[in-house]
Amino acid sequence: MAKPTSLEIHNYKCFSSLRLETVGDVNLIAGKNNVGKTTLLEAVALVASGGNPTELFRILDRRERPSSEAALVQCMMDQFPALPCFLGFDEFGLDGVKIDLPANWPKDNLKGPWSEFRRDSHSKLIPSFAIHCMTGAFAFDLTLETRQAAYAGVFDTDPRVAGTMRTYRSNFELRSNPNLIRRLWDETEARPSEEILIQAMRIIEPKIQRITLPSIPETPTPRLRLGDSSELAPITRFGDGLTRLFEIGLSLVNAKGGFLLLDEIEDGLHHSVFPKLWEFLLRSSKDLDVTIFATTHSYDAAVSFSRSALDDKNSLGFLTRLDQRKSGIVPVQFTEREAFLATEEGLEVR
Amino acid sequence: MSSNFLVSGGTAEWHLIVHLFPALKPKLKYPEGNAIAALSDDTVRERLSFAIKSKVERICVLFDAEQREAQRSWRSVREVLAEDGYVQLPEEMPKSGVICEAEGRPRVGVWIMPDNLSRGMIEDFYLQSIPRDDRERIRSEQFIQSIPSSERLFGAKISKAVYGVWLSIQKEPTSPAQAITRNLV
Repeated sequence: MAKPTSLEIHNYKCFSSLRLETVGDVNLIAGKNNVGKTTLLEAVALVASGGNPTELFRILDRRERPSSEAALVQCMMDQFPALPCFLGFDEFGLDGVKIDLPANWPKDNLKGPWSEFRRDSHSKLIPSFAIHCMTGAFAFDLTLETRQAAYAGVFDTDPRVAGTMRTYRSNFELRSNPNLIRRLWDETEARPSEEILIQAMRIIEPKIQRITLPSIPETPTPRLRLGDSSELAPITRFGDGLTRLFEIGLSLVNAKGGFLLLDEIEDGLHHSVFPKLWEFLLRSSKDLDVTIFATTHSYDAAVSFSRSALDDKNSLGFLTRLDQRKSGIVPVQFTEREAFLATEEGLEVR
Repeated sequence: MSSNFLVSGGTAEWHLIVHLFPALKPKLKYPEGNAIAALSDDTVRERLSFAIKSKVERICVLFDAEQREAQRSWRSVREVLAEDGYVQLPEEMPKSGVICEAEGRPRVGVWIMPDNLSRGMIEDFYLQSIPRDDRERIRSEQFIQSIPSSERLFGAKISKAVYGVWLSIQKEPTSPAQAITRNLV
């Protein structure tokens, strides 16, 4: 499957119009707070979800969940609960909301516009979440009914939602979802993917020989066997870094042909881990055909990314910083060499 | 993290700048590698390009008029600046230099080092740092003056010739570029 080589986001949250001229195998997104680093990951997740409204509501709930059902009723958005994603743009409902991938994107996948208004039987305007693909266009009204259907899993099995790619966001998706960990592990255990996962975890603990996941559903805590020991020790005994690598590795091996989204990649990881982690991610992105987007605030992460990306001759790694300017949020993209030279000179690139 | 960045020029230019502006010394990173030689236009473009993308506040571009055609170099730099959103860039590089600004990007100052035909050549500046009663200076000036005008291969570049002689009769004879890095002037 062809990977995207560029990306455009229009009228989604803080982005009125954002174009990344270049998308690499691994993309590190930097920038100050509130410039849309996580929002960019969300937009990619929406595209990759195949337009499944469940993804849209999941994003909204993570960011804007009302404190109670009562508050939800009071909320002015209660009729159109996905609207906050698209507010603030004059074009909304005229040109539509677009999250476009480039022309070389496979034809059976999605193209914009993603959202528009339609009139219901009483001529009332209802915002819609529209999907346009080669086989036709479908629209989901952004109403409470759609939301309820999304949570009932209706769209997950809807044959109209085609072209769904596997996308996982390791840090905010796995920890709160034991069932997902279980499902991904079942897809990984005793397969070549398991060895790749072990490789990831050996970045911190080189003695790891084996990983198991106890079959007790409510406690999906991985257990590790180190060296010649017969003991299977819970991963929680080792510290957060190893758990983080487990989540990244498990997400990666299950995102073949899709996307891996890593928000604040430095979470729980010491700076000394980064050179090997980037080396692993750059290599795996090619081997597993995964496009990786990661965000960071860490200079160490940016410096080691720049070095690893230049060293890896097979994979493309791009450092992009989002800057807030008068005209809106703009991307500043460094080539591999530019990022390397700038960080070697000790210049600020984040 | 450095807030100032010297795009072109090597260690000699670095010494010159911190000599003139001592306050910049801790902020201006010392050029690495064999930076004494003049940088090619391509290298200047590359360094300018990544410096603009980084978050430095000020960028200094120095053209050495002795070693390159400054206007050609300016056109090359101008192209990079225009691509990065800098506006009101003069077609021709003014002798007094130019300061370029763009929203959200570093201030870029571009200057041409004095050449050997201009009044106030750089060697005049170096000679100012050498006391007039310095024995080697007096000898150097006397030697240069002793050469008949019609036989002066160096033409009007008297200060450069005096400076060159002065350097060559030091305890450790050295080149003009190394003189600055060795703090002789």
